[in-house]
Amino acid sequence: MSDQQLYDALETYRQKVNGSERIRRMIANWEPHLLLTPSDREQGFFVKFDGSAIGPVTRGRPAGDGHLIEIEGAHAELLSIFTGKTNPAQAFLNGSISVFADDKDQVKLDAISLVLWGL
Amino acid sequence: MTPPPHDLATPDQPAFLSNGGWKANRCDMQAWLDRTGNGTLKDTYYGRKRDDTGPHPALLSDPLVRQIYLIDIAFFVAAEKVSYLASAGLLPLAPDEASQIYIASQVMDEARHYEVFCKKFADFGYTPEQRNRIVGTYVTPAMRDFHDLILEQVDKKDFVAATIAQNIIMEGMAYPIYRYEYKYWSRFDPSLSSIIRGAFADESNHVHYGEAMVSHIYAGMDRDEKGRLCRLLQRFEGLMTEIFEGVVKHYVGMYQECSNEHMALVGDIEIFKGHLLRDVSEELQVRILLQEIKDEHARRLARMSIVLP
Repeated sequence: MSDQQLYDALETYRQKVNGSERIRRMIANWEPHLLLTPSDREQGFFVKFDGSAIGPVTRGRPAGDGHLIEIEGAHAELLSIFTGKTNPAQAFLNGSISVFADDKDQVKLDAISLVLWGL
Repeated sequence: MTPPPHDLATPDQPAFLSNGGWKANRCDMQAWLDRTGNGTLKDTYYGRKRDDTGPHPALLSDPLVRQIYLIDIAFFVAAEKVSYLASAGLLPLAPDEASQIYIASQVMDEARHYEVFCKKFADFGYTPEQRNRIVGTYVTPAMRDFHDLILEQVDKKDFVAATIAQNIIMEGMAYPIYRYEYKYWSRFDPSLSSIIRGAFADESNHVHYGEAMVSHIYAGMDRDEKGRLCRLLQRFEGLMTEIFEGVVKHYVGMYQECSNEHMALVGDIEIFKGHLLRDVSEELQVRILLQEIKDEHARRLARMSIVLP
């Protein structure tokens, strides 16, 4: 399974989020970096929420110690979450991913997933 | 042929309910008909009032509100299923005939709750298989463990432990959640709100029955037995508190995401006494809810005259 798949999934996620008026209202004034760290790969990818949309997908880690949400898990698990096959809250509760973020950020990510992919 | 329960109507059985402050006629099917069949369910169809005009358009048009609504109902579906299975299992274990009849009505209540919550999924076009998949996906592992724990007590034929887990802890500690939920959904879907209110009324009755039974049985226990009952109470309470802490934090956040979009519709709901939804932060909502759960349980223990070490 190539890294490109996760990149593509995150890119599609970005486009879907940016294309949803409902989600854009939900992420108003929310400006974290979202970092995906595959535990079985050298590097991950990140995006930046800029208060109304998501910026481009970038390889590596964001610089600095700002507002960061990091999701760590197997490449396949991250791919499954960011293509809507697995609910992120469920994956977290089942222990298949680790989410380094405060409760509010986790709620926001879960809400985005529900709007994008339903139940 | 199934043999009749050995303890049915045995004349020398102690009258637990009378001794626990409940008259037998409060437990019989006629009481159920007066209270529920001809009371809260009068003029309803699957829990909905016949003149119900349906949900607010926001519930249909906003995908987030709709998903949170269905997840909420999924939690009810899971809990009600365990409740009717557990109550049915408790029926032959009940210590007297009046209790057996009462528990039979509880089985009916729980099965009916299950059915009306399932009907909500059906109204949204979900098949039973799709509904069960959603329930399986969103019920947390901690909730599932607690449901298993209740059924385990029934399997062990431990009437007191099962009554504590089912009637005192799962149903009793959830009072503040019921209050929150029926207020929260009152504008998005008044019929769900009234279904939750009706279920809450039934659960309150079950909890009072559980209190009467457990406090009566507790009063007659020796020191070792009392110690065991207190340990069970503490263990179950701890597990349930853990569940509530996780779920309340996450879902109050989700409700808030929905409210932010529809504040004109829901902002003036007095979600807690003296607190309108538009004015109360998520953090305060979580704090109040968790405190109410704790206070409610403490009052229940006091009513049962049980002092935990």
